[in-house]
Amino acid sequence: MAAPTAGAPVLVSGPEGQWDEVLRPLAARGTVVTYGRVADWLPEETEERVLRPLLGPRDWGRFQRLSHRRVREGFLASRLLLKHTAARVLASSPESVDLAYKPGGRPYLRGCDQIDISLSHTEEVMVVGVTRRGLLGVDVERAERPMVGTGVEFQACTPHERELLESLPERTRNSALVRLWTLKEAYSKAIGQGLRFRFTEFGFTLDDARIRLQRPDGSPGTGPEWSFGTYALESDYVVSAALRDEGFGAAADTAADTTLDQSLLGVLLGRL
Amino acid sequence: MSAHADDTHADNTHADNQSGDLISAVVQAVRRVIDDPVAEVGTDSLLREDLGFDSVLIMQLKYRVEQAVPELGELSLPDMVDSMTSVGSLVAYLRDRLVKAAV
Repeated sequence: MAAPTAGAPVLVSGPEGQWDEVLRPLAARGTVVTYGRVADWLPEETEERVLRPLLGPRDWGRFQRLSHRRVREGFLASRLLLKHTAARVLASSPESVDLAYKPGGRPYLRGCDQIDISLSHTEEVMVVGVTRRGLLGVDVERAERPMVGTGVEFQACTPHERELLESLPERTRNSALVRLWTLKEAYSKAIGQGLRFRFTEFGFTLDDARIRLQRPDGSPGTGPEWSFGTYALESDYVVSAALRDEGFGAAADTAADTTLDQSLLGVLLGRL
Repeated sequence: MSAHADDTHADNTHADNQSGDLISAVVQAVRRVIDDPVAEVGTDSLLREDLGFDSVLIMQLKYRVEQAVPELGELSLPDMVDSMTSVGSLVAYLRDRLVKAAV
């Protein structure tokens, strides 16, 4: 039986948003992906006394070092969406959610090993994933973000994927590349490697029925425990989610070295 | 001044020029990737925090640098991503690559 997917993202329009719509899929599937617009989540008050308790000392320090306005806003809004989402899931308060980062930058909830989280944001939209099932990675991009011709297809695609892209009509090629990119980002985030993964060493099919990860030669790259999904957000954005299903309850060991096919992991990390 | 000293001075000047060329090439690549030809970019500029780089732009920057400085050869993003915090740290990584390639 196919592993359950993360499901379509659920819009949350602010801290007082539609949380019942978030908790329902979480109860049914063990996974939920929420999204929000950055502008809806920027707090009116941005003084230290307000933001520091919400962000925590580490992210407050990072926030203060951000000088790029859009990056600041995306950072702040995405952390607030994540903290509010996690607080609802844990029946807790956003201030008590302890967001921490593993070496390499993967976020996690300190003291909540049974929950895995992931977040992503663009200039205007952010996405948060929460699962009880195992490992989860999410990524969002503007659907029309220019990628073809910028070097991304050479840097991030397998030969098979480049052939696939070249076979597509020109008007759909860029959107297909954006979709492939978000899938690769989502998977590498789920594993906790980010850009340390060799994106040219794993590819994706784009069958809507069931997206599969493949090695460059077209053979399967992951087992049935992984599921991948892409979703359109209001036609402007593409969200991808990669979910490794460990079944209900906490995975005993979620380190990347123990959850991937060992030979594929070696290639992706450049060990072989 | 001895001939040896002159050679050393000449080598240093050559090295300084090369370093300046590399900085200039990276700054130009950064401006091209963020599509802002007059952006204030210096060696202290932080790619993510100051210039708004994300994963896509990081990958595009690697591609532009490879094109601008062909003697670097093909770079490995997993190897260089930890050095891609500031323009200066990226330049230092690339300079080290050039030195190793020349040995």
